[in-house]
Amino acid sequence: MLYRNQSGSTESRCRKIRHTIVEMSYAAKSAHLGSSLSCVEILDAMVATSNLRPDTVHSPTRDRIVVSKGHAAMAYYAVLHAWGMIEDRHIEVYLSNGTSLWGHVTRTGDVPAIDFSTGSLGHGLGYATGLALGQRLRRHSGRVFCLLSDGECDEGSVWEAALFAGHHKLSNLTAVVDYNKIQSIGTTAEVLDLEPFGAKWSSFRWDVKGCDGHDSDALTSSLMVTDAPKIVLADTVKGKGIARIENTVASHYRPATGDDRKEFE
Amino acid sequence: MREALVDLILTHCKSDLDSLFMTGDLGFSVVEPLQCALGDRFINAGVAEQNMMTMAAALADTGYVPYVYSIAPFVTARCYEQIRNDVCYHKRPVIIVGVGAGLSYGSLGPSHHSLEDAALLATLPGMRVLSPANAAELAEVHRLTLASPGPTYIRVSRESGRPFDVPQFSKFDEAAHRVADGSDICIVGTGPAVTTALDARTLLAERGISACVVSVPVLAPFPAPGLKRCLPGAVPVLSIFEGYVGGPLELGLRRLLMEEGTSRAYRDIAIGLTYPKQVGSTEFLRHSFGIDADAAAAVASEMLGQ
Repeated sequence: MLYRNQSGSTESRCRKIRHTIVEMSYAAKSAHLGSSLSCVEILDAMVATSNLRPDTVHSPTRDRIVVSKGHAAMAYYAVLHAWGMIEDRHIEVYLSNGTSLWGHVTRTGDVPAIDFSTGSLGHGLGYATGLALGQRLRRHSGRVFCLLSDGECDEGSVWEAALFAGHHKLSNLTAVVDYNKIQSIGTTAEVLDLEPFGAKWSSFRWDVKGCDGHDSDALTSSLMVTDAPKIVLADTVKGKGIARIENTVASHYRPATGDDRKEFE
Repeated sequence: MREALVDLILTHCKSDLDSLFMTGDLGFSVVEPLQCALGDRFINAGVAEQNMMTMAAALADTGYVPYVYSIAPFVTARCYEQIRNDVCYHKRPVIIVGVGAGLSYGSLGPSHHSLEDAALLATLPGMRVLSPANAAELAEVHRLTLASPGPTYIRVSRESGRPFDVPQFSKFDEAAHRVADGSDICIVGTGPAVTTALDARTLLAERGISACVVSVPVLAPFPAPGLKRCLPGAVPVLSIFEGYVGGPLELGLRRLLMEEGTSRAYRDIAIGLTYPKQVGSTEFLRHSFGIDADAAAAVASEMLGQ
């Protein structure tokens, strides 16, 4: 069962988005369930804050959203579905042969809301930086949002973009790290410790905010524009919403089960 | 050829406000006129080629046609995945300009040689790989690029190249032309190797051998129709490429000749899969790798049994 519902509370919308993710993962036996469940409120808040809507999606001057953690494709597809920018018929056949929605965020003709294809980590922040620079050169007022994973910040290209955006004071750029502290096969503390994470961004001349990445009001407030590029370090829980997989490395790989579906009945 | 390149870009960018120029902090004493003329459309991305390439794809998304300039390996091998995913998959009209084709940077060392760039980029769907031999060819392939924007790599030598007249090509796959006539053998070159081919032709003439020289300024899409038109019939073909063996010129020619179905002899001169063992100038390295005019003349003579 799929939901599309922009009415009601943000909390109920995010619960329905999680339900859609679980249904997609179950039907397609798709991995990256935990990575998708951790960023639901972040992506929902980005869309809510932006002017990306079904009637603006083809506008070249609209706000842009770059999902750099392309493996959270189910989350972005489900959020765009909830906001009326992906049709049921695409969600229902996710990952089936001959359809449109790939397992990593990929721009196709069927979903104009997707600005950029990702999947290899470390590309999205540079793209968002280029979009922000382009918007500024064009004297457009559009904003650019970018979702990063924490493990992705191991990539040097992330810091190349961070250096450029900070130097050029791209205040129309806002990035959020889904800081669930678990990367592909270990915790971020074990693999390559990012801390002091905020200080790193701050030293690159970014405005740094921290917040609860599952608190939609806090996220919306954190996404407000300031006079420098902004990074929001959103503390999240990998696998959020399904207690048995929360905070586990395995949730990166394990598809949804029948029991997971029952959580949303 | 850098000065000719910058002149072309400057002229275009002055008249087309949707163009812009990005450099990876290189081009001292050459790019300054661009910096003066373009204002905020001149972007020094810093020594950060991965980010520069991804930003170029994004700037193209906002309607710009960016030139992305650096030394050839830094703007190809260093950021290959950014070209693959961000530029090519998204079909962005980014014009990548790599200076220092082949062994141009001679004694600066293997880090600065660019021997695999053309082959790497020619494998990417939609990517045009342009390899002009001189300023006139550069101007012509640049004109073709602007007439049909898309992912493009221009491989530019530091040397000026031997001057010769260049016809106007109707499209990329017509971009091959005969630059010197001859009746015994045809030498096909691209980029700096065209000058090598012309020098070999002079050496062969001293031995009584008449060589035709064909220049191929476009390596991808491979200009098979153009080559078919200008290859003389029935004579042996020798190709020269300043890069590793198995490059796009050799592959394209082999396929063309196989499809032609003739039994004419074909040989290719390129650099084996090895690194230079000694420091040397461009000329020294060409000689030591066996891709200079002496080597080409020797192979051509051998092919003709002389």
